[in-house]
Amino acid sequence: MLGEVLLAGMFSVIPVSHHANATRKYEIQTAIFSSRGYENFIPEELYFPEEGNKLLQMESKTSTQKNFNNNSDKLLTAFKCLISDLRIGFDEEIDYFDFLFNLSEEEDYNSFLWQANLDGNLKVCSAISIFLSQKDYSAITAQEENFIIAMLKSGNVQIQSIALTAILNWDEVSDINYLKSIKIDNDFLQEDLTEFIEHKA
Amino acid sequence: MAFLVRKINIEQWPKGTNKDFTCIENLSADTIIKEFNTSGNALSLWKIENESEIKEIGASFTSRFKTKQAVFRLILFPYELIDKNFQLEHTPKNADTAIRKFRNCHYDMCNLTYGSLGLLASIITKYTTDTELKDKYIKKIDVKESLQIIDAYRLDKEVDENLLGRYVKKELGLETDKDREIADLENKLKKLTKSK
Repeated sequence: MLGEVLLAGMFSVIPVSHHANATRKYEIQTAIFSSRGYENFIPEELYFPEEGNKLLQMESKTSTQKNFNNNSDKLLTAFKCLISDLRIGFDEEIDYFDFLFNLSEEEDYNSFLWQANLDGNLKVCSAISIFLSQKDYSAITAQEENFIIAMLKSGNVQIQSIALTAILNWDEVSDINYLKSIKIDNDFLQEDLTEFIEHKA
Repeated sequence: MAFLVRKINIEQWPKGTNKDFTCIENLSADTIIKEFNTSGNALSLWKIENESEIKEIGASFTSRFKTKQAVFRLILFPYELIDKNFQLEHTPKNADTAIRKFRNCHYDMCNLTYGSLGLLASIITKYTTDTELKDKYIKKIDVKESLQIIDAYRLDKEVDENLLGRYVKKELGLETDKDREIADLENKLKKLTKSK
């Protein structure tokens, strides 16, 4: 009985198209490895996460600054591939959290955030903002907070909405006065932002 | 006065003072697609008998949250307006909530077409672009308050804890060993999927 319950639980969260997603994840891992200079990787290496982590750790020690932006570009491309197959929404199963969580422990992460901000892709920016909105403020870095502030100033109401959700979820921000200069072109969201500023002032 | 209530993605809709959207033909495709994610040509609605029940029904929505969201908004439609212009069906079995009491409040707006969705869109646009109607028919829900309401229902044994969303379980300290075991199994299954 317990087995049935567990199995039901397991399958209820596996997307119907998980085979397609598995293929896509394989492609993404390939992109991550190639971004670190493993263009001639042995495919089997990708199937063993522990081995892959060893390779990443070894590589990170010898990582050269010259390929820094190039790497984050490739990571950004890999991330775009991932989210193009996934729906983004608060009520959806959010598979890309794993990718971002793992990436957030890599040294390319800040550069990735910077590239994502420059690139301005709606889905990418939304996905990163949703990921950050789920973290506690105590775990948010200055670069992550800057990313959310940049999104709040983006001028795109949809992204501004998610960035505002992050700030409301954190219930904290390092510079409350700076928020006063930000305008959102939607009455409801502007009202939420103003209420937050007043509450914190 | 009774209302039918729905969660609304408010950022998708024309801002409060924008009078360029008096014609729904100007609504963006994203707004229509994201707001009206129909299934079987039906949309989910929840009936409340009066406006004072709004926080309670807000808790009903919150009970299924998988992820954190500090606030969200609900739109209220006068029951008679919807009943007169759309086909309604009382569908407690389709209620997606962990609070048992509210299952009986669930309705489906059925047999929706391009035309009827357009009518619904025009009603929502009217509410979001008129200051007076906006205040009357669009209500903000504070998730922290919702969590307190859910917890009170839980103490009264009115909550099906298995149906609580992951975020709600975490906030109410209800994550069980079984939940953690299922999460572990999910991770193992993911690794197995990768290795095939």
